[in-house]
Amino acid sequence: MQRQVALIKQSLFDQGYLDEQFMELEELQDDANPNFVEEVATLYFKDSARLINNIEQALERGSFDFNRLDNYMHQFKGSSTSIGASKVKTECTMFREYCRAGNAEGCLRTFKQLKKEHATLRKKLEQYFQLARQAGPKEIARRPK
Amino acid sequence: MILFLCYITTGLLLLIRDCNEFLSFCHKHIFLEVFFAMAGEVPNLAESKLTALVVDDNFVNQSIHHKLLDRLGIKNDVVCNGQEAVDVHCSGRNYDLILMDMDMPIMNGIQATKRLREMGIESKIAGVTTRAEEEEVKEFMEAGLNDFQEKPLTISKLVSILRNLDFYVQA
Repeated sequence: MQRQVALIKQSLFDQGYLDEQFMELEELQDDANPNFVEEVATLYFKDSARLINNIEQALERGSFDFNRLDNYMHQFKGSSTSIGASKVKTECTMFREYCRAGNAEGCLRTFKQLKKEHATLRKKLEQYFQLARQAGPKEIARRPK
Repeated sequence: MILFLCYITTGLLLLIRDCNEFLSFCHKHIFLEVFFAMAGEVPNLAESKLTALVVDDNFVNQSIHHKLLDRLGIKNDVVCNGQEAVDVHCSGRNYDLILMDMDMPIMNGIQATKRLREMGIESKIAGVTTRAEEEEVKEFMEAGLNDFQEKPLTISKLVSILRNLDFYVQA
């Protein structure tokens, strides 16, 4: 099972879903906070769901307030960068470029892709964390406090 | 004891002999501290009794920055925006280091930094933001920062801040 966990994690990096920032977070796990990364990931998905909802509402209004959309996406990109969500971060960057260009169609197209990447990452990380918990502490980077 | 230190230093010098810069005895130890930090050894500054304030509106970043400081043994509080940072100082609290985000609601990092300096707060303030355009960084620095790092914050970036602000003393 530990090998399975390691393979899942490796595939997340190989497929570009995660970058080295995720490993930085794993380095912060210790005996006092053995599930730190999962806790941060949970915070991220809760926060990003709120931002997705805000952006959807803003897009549904029809009149594109590119400043407001850019602000939302700035927050989204910040969180995604902090957790190492590489593909999501890339879509955020693209969305912001479309905002600056005033390209509504580009924003809509990119937002659709962003939601897809976000959902895929969420599913994969949930699977990873579930298996990691079952496998026990060996597969989680830990430092003695 | 002196011979032992010389032996250890000589041995380590062999490892870093490709380094062209001549280091004094004291600088060697600081360099080695940084080297170990970069190699994964995390310094523990608990004995220094440093305190820090995390100012960021993003819950993910709050959690990470709090943990980073915790890992280095630095007791820290967290607030959600510049106004809360000002308020906590008005209540009499003081910190050695403030990690200040730029974009925050109610009062952003630039406004908060200016306000804290106007209040006479002499804490070291390090700006931590995703914004890295030269003009934006310049404006933030001119507000009263002592240092700046681009997010995402990592252990090595935080150690760099501590070193730049003279908090990182040799063992």
